[in-house]
Amino acid sequence: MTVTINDVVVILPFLVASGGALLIILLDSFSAPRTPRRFLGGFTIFFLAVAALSAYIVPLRTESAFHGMVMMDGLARFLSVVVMLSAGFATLLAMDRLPEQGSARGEFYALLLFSAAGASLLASAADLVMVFLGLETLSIPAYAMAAALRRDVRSTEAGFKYFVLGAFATGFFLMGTALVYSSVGSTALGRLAAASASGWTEKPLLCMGAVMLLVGLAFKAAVVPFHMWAPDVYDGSPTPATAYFATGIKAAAFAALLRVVILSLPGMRAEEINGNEIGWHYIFWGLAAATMAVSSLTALVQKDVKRILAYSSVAHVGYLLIGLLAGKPGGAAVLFYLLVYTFMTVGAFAVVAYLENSKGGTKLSDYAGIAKRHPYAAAAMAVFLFSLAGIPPTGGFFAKFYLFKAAVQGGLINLTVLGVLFSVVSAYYYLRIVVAMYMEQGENQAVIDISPSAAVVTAICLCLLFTIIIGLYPTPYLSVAQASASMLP
Amino acid sequence: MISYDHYLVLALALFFIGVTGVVLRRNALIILMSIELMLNAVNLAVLAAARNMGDMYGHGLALFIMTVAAAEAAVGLALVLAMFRHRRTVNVDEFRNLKG
Repeated sequence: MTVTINDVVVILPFLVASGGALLIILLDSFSAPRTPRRFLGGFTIFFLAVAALSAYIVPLRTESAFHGMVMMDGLARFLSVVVMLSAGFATLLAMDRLPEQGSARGEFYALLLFSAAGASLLASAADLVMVFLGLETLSIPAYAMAAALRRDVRSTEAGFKYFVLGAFATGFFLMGTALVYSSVGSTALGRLAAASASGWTEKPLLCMGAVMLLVGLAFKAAVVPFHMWAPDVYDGSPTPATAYFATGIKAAAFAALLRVVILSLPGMRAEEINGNEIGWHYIFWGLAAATMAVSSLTALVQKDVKRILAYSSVAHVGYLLIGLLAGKPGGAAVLFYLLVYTFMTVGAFAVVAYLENSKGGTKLSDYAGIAKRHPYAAAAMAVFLFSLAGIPPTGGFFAKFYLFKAAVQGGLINLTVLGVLFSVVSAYYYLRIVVAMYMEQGENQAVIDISPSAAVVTAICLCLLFTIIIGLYPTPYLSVAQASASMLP
Repeated sequence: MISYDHYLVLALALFFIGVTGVVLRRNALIILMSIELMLNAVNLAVLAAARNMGDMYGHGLALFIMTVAAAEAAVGLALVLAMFRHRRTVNVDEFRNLKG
C-alpha cells in the first residue's frame, strides 16, 4: 500500500481546495473578531483558481490512481473546472451579500471550498466508495451553507429541509452500493460495468441496487419526482449559496450520473424480456418527460423570482437528462450545456443578489418597474433570462440546439419534441420577469438604493460576457466539451 | 444455519423501517434517528456481504459510512437546534415558512 507521486497528482484539485478551506478556517479564527472578512473571499477565489488550473495541468491518464479509486480523465477535468467556476462566482456574490445579514464570519468560504473539493473528488471517482465520499463531502457543507443566516428562520428551515432530503437520498445511494457490492463482489465502477454487461436480468440484487443508486442520485440532481426540496431550499438559502446549489452541485450530480449510470451500467440500458422492454433508458425517458412537464407547469404560477429560477433549474435537469440518453454526441452536449447553464444561472442569481443588496425583495411584484431604477441590472437580467429560455444569439440557444441535435441523432424524436415544447412554455415564465421589469409600474418607488457593490457587479459582467461570447462563437467551448466527453460510450 | 440472505432480509427490513420513519414521523429528532437506522442497515448488509465473500473492501466501506454518518449527525443536530431556537419546537409540521 504505497502512495506514489502519480497518485497524489491525480487528486491535486481536491487537495488544493480542501487545503485552502483549512487555511481559511485558521485565518478566520486568528483574525480580530470585528474585522470584515471580505479578504477571505479573495483567498477563496485564489484557491479555486489554483484548483481549476491544477486540474488542467495534470496530464490526463486512462489508468486510475490509489488502487483504482480515482482517475483524472476528460470528464473529471471538465466538470471540476465547471464546479470551481460556479464556486468562484458564489464567492463573489457572498463577499457583498453575507456581511450585512449577520453572517460575517469566514466559515461560509471554507464550506464553499470544502464542497467544491468534494465535487472535484466526485467527478474523478472510479469506485462507488469514492462516489459516496465525494457526494457527502459535497453535500454536508452545502447543508450548513443553506442555513448560513442563523437569524433568518427561512434560511435555517432551508438548511434543515436540505439536510433531511439529502441524508435520505444518501441512504438510498448507500443501500444501492451495498446491494451492488453483494451481487458483483466489488465496488469498482469498472467491475460493475463488466458484471452488468450481460445477464443482468438474472441478478435481482444488482437490478435492485442499480435502481436504488439511481433514486439516490435523482434526489441529488433534483429530478421529478424527487425534486420537492429544491424550490424550498433555493428560495430560503442565501442567494450566493443558491447560485452554487443550482449550478455547481447540479454539475457534480450529473458527473455522478455520467460515472455511475452511463459509464458503469451501459449493459443495463435496454433489454427485452418476455416482450417487456426494461432498462434505465425507459426510466430516464419517463423521468426526463416528467421533469420537464412538472417543473415548467409549476413555474408558471410562482410569484417569487428565486422560486421561478429554482423551477427553471429543475426544468434544465429535464433537458440534461435527454442529453444523457442520446449516446455519444449527447455526452458532449451535456457537458457544454452544464458550462453555459452555469454562466446564465449564476448571472441571473447575481442580479437577484444585486437587487437584494439594494434593499429590494425577491417577489415578482418587487421587480415591477425595476428597469427604471436599475437599467443595467435589468438589461443583464433580461439577457440571462433570454439565454435560459434559449433565444438566439445567446449561449443558452446553442446549448439547447446541440442538446436537441444530439437527441435527434440518438433517435429520441418524441423526447426532443417534448423538450422543444416545454422550452416554449418556459419562455413564458422567463418573459414574465422581463415584462415585470420593463412594462409594469412599481408601487414602491421611494426605495433607497445603496451604491452598487464591486464584487457582485464583477460577477454579473463576467457571466454576461461569457453568455454572449459563447452565443456568438460557441466552437472552441464545444470542441473542449467534445474532447472531454470522448471516453463516454 | 444463518446465511447471507437472512442478513440481507434483516438489513432491508431495518432500512425500510428507517425510510418509513423519515416519511411518517413528524419529530425532527426521530427523523434523524430514522436516517441513522437507514445507514446502519446499510452497514449490516455491507459487512455481511464482506464476510460472506471474504473481501476486505466491504469493511473499509463500513468504516467510511460510520465516519460520514457521524459528520452528518453533527450537522443535522446543529440544524435541529437552530430550528428549535426559532420555533421552540422540533415538530417538522411547524417548519413551513417556505411555500410557493
